[in-house]
Amino acid sequence: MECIDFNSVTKQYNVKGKHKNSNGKITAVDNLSFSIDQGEIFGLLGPNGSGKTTIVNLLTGLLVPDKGKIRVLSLDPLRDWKRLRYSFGLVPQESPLYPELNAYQNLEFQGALYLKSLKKIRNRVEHILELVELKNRASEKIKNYSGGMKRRLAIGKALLHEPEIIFLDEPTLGVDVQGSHRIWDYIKMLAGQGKTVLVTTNVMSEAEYLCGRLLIIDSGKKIAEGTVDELKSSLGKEEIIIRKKPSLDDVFLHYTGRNLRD
Amino acid sequence: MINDILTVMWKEIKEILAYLSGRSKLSPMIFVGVFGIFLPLQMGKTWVESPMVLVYSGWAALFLVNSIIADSFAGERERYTLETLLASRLSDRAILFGKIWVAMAYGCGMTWLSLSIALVPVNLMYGQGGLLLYPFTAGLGIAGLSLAGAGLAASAGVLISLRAATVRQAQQTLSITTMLLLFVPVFGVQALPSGWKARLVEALTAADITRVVIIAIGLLAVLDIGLLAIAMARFRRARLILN
Repeated sequence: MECIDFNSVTKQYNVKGKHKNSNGKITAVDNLSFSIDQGEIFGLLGPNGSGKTTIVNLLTGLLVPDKGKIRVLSLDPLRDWKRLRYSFGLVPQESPLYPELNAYQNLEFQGALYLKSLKKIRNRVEHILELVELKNRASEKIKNYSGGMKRRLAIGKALLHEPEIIFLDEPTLGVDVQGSHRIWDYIKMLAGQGKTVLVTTNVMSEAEYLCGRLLIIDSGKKIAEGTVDELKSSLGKEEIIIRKKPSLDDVFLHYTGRNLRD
Repeated sequence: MINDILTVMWKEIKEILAYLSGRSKLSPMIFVGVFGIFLPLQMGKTWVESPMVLVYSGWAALFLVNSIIADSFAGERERYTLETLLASRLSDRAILFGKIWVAMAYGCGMTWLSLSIALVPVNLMYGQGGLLLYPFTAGLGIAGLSLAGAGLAASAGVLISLRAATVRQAQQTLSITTMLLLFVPVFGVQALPSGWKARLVEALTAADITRVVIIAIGLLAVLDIGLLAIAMARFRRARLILN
């Protein structure tokens, strides 16, 4: 069953600088279409500045598209925002935590936004603290947490109200290998529970390990789409002479090029 | 709506208390020390009887709100929490009013606390057996002016904080705005021809204090409502993320 429908969407920003087009705008998402099925882990791959975060912000109703149609659980993220916001959890690129509050208070605030009874809030907070293995550090201020701990808590915060869809914007950014693997385990577990997960990343091993289907974008445009195997075999015909089997890194670089996007 | 505002207020209060539990607790303590003990002891009975306390209540609330309001939206942006706050089910108004009300409660609460504490040293040193209290009308004036002053700082501060990229930028703009608010009338009066100045002093001396206070509260309230309306119009989710 289709859970997300992103249909011919274009989003432009007004910017100052050399990258703008003749209208004085930069195109972050360019006539892009894709859909995500329920219970799927869908990966959005692209170099820095390729439009991944803009897509997440469009799906969550934080940005207004210039053209195209977006439906999440058959709802319009702008018109039906109140109903839709109970249905998704968002983990942006930077962990959205209040540094002066402790882990318990951060989760408590999230709980108060979505859950009615104090008992339910407390139960869910306890459950999430156990899930992300931070129960022992629950009363510590976030400003003393490591990057990996903050990331785990941010994911826990997004799961607190038991949403159907999770948007994860570069979930392991700045996290060490152990922390990354633990986060990947949580994501796999979520998909196992039937939740739909959209992961944006530019870490190929992450995409390869996690995602059932991938969309590669560059400059807001669709470059390639398919499962990891489909994407690899699409390249295999060309490069089989040099390598036995190309890695996903090769696929990605083939489609997006080697130039830095600074 | 009210529940949502209270939820935002709860979070803001926890953050302020957590912040004040560290080294920053010195600033409110110094404030209460100066305005609740030192100045009342210096002024004696005049502290309770003079209309100066009315001016003080308005300014104190305004400055206290200024000290925290810059953080309201610029702080959320700096901590990367703005995105998820805006992506939550909270309405724009619940977020806006939650932040404004907490700032006003802090400004007015601290002002009223220091004015209440001030009665202790004044009575101990100058009470001479009787109980020195603020007159009832002065009490009403204090409440009105501190609320109006806090409201002015909160709505102007939110407006500045909404547009600022960082807390520091918001604080700088807010400081300059407050200085202009303080110095423009003073220099403006000084620039008046001496005949006009004399007439102004004469009018103020002859004026009924209660009437002046009511007019001042009314003018501030109109300004507060105007600024709040602008803040509500400017508080749009998409615009904030783009910023």
